[in-house]
Amino acid sequence: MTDLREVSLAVNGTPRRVQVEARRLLVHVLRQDLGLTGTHVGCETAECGACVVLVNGRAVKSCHLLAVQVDGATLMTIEGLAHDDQLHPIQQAFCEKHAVQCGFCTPGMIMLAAALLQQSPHPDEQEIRHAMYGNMCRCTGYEHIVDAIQDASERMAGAGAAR
Amino acid sequence: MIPPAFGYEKPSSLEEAVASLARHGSDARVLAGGQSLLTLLKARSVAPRVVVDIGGLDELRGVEADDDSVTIGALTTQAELLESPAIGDRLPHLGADASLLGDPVVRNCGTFAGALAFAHPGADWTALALVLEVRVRVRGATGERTIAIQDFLLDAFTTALGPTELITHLTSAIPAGDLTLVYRKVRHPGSGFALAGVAVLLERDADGRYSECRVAITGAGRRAVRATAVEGVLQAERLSPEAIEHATNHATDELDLMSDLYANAEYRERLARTCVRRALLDGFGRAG
Repeated sequence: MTDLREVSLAVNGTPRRVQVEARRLLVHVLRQDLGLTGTHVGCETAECGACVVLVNGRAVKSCHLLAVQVDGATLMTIEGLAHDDQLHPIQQAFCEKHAVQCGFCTPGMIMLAAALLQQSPHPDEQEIRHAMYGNMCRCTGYEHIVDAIQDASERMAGAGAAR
Repeated sequence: MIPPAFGYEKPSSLEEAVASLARHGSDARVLAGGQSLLTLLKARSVAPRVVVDIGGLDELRGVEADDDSVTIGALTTQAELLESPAIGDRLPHLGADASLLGDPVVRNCGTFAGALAFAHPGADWTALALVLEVRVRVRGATGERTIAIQDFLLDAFTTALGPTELITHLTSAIPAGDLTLVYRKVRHPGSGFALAGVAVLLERDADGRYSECRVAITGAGRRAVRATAVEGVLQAERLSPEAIEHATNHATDELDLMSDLYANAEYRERLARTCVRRALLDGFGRAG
């Protein structure tokens, strides 16, 4: 019998508490216990990045962390980006620049972009491509995703305060 | 790919962690960043009875530097290392090649010490540790000891760490002169691991002569090693493009070349030579 551990975390601004086995992966706890299915399970080997979320502002692969490792942390998932009914500038850019095809990599790509633009508000193309190295897309060939991230950085700079 | 069930302990002090490991021995696995351990757990390559999560041990975080050396806490993530001003001051080129070191998202969680403890044959950080002549400080049931990195990395996924030991700190006596650091690699396109990776550290003294030339190769053999034959040629001949060509012929002299499903030994040998050549030429060029 394995015992359950209590994990307290802030997710998208809301305090949450779950009781989980220590072996539960963060991505499964997000999806199954917290109902946040926007974060995707792709490769399960930490290569594809479809599971990327922010933990204390840093992009992490949630399939490659135990939920117990983020006890006490502040998380943001794709569901936490939009405010009321307004898409985040990164989401807007992804739509307008055709950076979404099947959509499976998209939440991970967007969360990665959110972390990148927080750390480096005006990345050049090489910096964007290097930052994206841990995220895979089978559909788009990456060009439009890079364009979208560049476009988002301009929108966010234009808007003034970073989100 | 769900991990097997295991007991979980989260010690709140280093003493508690050591006591846990003393109690459980080889039935326990240490969890730091988890970026290597989770690979094993998810594939069920290991089924520890207990996982000891040292993530709460703040005394193992951070980078400290004095005039002669840097000390890196075992829980320092690879990202924190690359962002550390103390490291950036002493190794200004580390950032230039940072994009080759693993995966940027994994670097946010994975630790430098963890990469060394895991000793994956295709790891990048092992080559860097070798040219930095890192000394690995460990603590266990029998006390503390310090192990030089070349004596620490023994074989694929095998280190000198005993079953009750954990790494607490890494230290490096970074040379005082004008330093150039280069890392060059051929990566597996999916996993990103090195099929061959070469780190070069050059030190130039005030007269412009190269007083140190350290070369380490990862990915091609079962463990990362210093390419002492290459170093020997360069010491004898003075660093120049001609000497680099000559040295490259000895690139794989000490390597226990590996064949696996990703690349055979013959291909790895070619890749290792190419990376040695590129790293040395780029190092020579970067040194200016």
